[in-house]
Amino acid sequence: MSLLEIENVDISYGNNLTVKNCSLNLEKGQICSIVGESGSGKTTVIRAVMGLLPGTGRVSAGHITYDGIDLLKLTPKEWRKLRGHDISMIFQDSGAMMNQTRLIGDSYVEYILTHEDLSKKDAWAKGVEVIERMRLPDGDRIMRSYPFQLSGGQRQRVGIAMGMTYQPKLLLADEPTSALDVTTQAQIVRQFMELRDEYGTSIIIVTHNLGVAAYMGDKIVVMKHGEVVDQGERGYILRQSENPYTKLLLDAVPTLGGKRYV
Amino acid sequence: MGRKNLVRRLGQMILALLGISFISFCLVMLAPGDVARQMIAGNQEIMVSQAEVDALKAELGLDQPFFFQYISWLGRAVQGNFGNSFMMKRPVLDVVLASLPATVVLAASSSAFMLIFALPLGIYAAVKQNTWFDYLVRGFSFIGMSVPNFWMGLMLLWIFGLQLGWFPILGGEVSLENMALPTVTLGIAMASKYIRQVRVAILEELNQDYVTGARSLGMSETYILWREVLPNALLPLVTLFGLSLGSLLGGAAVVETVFSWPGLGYTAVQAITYRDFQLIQAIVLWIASMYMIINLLVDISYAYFDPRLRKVGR
Amino acid sequence: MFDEKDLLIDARHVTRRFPTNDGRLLTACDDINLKFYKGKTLGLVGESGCGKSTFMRFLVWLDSPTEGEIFFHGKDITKMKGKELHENRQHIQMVFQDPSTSFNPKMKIKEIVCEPLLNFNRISGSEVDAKARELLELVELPGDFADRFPHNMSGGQRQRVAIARAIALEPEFIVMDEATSALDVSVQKTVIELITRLQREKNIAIGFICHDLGLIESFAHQVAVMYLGNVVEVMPGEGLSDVCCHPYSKALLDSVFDTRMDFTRKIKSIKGEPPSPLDLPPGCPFSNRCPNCSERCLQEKPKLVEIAPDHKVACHLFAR
Repeated sequence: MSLLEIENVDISYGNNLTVKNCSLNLEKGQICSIVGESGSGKTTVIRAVMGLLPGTGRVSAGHITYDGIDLLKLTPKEWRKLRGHDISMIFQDSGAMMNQTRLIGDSYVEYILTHEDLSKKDAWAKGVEVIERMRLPDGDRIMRSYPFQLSGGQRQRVGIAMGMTYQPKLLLADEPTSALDVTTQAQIVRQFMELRDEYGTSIIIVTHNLGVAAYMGDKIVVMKHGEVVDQGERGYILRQSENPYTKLLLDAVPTLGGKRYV
Repeated sequence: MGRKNLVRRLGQMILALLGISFISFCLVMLAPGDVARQMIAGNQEIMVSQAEVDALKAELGLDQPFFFQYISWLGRAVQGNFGNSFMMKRPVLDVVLASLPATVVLAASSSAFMLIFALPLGIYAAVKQNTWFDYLVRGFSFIGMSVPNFWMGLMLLWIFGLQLGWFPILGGEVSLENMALPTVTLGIAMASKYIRQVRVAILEELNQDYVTGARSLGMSETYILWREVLPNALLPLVTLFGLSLGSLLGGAAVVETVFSWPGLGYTAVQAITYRDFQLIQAIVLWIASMYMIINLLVDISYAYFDPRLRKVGR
Repeated sequence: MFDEKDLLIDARHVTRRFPTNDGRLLTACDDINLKFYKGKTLGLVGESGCGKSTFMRFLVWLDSPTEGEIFFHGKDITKMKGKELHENRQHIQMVFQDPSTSFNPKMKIKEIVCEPLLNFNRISGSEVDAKARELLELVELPGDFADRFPHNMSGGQRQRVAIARAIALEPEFIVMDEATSALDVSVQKTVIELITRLQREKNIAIGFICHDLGLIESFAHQVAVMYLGNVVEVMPGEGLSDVCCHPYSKALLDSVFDTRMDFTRKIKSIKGEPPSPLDLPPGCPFSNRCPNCSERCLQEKPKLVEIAPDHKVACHLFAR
């Protein structure tokens, strides 16, 4: 049984069908990259897995099963136990996902206290420890900062630290490096790979950057206009797939030492 | 707020007060009617001799050049002497200070009324957006905002004072039973406006990214609403409330008059009717200062509430 | 590769400093020397805060340098004013990053692309329709888009309109600030093809700001790498991954993810954080993060020297 099974899922906003018949399986310790251009529905899919579709979004058909649990039938209370504990999500701008008017430490402590019965002091210490375990130096100073006082890269790493606090089995990353500089992106990608290597975390990463998707993904899923048009092992997708859209995308991506226009 | 900023703001306030006092001085002086004649005859149609009028003018310095009169007034005002109210036959300062407590009490009670109703109703309407409750609340608040103050006040007075006899109808002094109806009148008007503001502010916050972020970490909706959304949503409302408070402390003229509540608004209306220019001038200055001081306090408090506005050393 | 008689824009010792509230100076650009040639693209790469956007703004008169000169046809554009400035604006145009915000949403496409022409009295009001179609055709858009509004088009189409607007005055030089970064990768490819074709046909010089090294290698004739306001390396665009040698350039290259890379390769990251631009260290700006940092690097700032034809590096490792 796979860790995550998305079976023939349709996602609709009101009466608009935005994602059609999406199917995807993720095994334990595996990294899956979902690639696609704008409007492909890739972000919608992972938001649906987390049950965080905005507005009138809902899964109108199909099943999503995590570790044998039917995610579509969970009560809000069951969701609250799962989110941030068994399944975590990393967003494009982790800083924006935090309350700007509160210290990172205060938000972090509240989060820990939601899942564990600790004193505030112990929760704070735990926050510092996790941040430093994610190789961000001086965790206490970070806890005492506001989100806007940190750089983009630091904010992403804090977001990852928070998401990893309880070593979730599944990490959903929504364009986690798109807003970052090239060198910072490399650091974050490396951190994700380490999470899988050290903790066995399964990761789904949604990105429009095919290079990152290719480096990170054991398997790659290609989406277009709300449908999965191609999926498979990395080697297959990059070199053997005959799917016209896949080939179009791969051809369009500039590569070092690749085709020149002038 | 930095010290430099604070000093600058206070300087601006003083300049503004000077400007306001000058303009209001002009307006009072330019208003139709002879002030001196008014003072002797009151509003009655009795004959007054020119000699009396001239004598009074000379005594009050009203025959001096206009600008000179202003400067004289300013000179005295700065020392705390705002002249005499000829309507009340007492120093203006005393009249103003005597009317203040009533206004302050009413401001406090109506603000409390507003908060008790607007906050819970606005929050709940936001959380239960587009349900029957939301529509009901919005409907009532719409009515509450549209109904004129004086009509509501008179209606309440008629129903609960005259017909039911629960509250006195004469007013005239500060007391708990006198306070009830004016409080409700003002309170309903304010609450109606604020329910909408609270609702919109909460809805806007609920759409922010950090709410999704908190949900993704497994935080409960209750926590998110009360500990994250509400503090952020209330922030812009602080400015609005500052304006309301400024207005209240200047005296809610209409409501006070309807209920004969002896506050500053009531006094102001009478002063205007009597052309008691010294008193009018002082009340205008008081209202202006109230607005400015409260706005300054609101701005200072903003930096306390929103850390992005502080000069945090890094 | 570059003929000196094709030299169009010559930026010399361009420096920009911003005073801050507490009296310190933020150096956004420090002694930048760059040359732009007719019909050739110079790619400017670097990460946030390196000064590439600040520098490019000087070229379109959106800002002036604190020091230095920028020569265009022999005249220093940073000192131009009034009529001379107005006349010269026709020759240098700009395409921005975000196609959704570069246009007045209330203007029709034909008004947008013809606005520069009307501004400089090149055409009359009655010729707008015809001219708009001509321009749209040049950027491979159907003529009837002329009556549409920007919000009725896709991102790629809007960027084509932005290019149409930029070439309307037949400029000699176009600045493109991350012009394709907001586009999908398949759309990006067609837009780059369009840009390179127009460049060939009209011999336009292009300054292209970009953070994607793979992209810039595919169509730039020369590439300048910036770090903390300094140009640290200038090299030919073709094969830059083979010739680049500045430690920072190499670190940038190492950070690029590619569909054809070796996936077993471990990611190397640069240690440390860049220093604050308010507090630049003496010596080389990269000194605190460079694996080859020496005593000399800490004391003396390396100058940009030519180590091969069309290849300059600012690094003591390569200075003779």
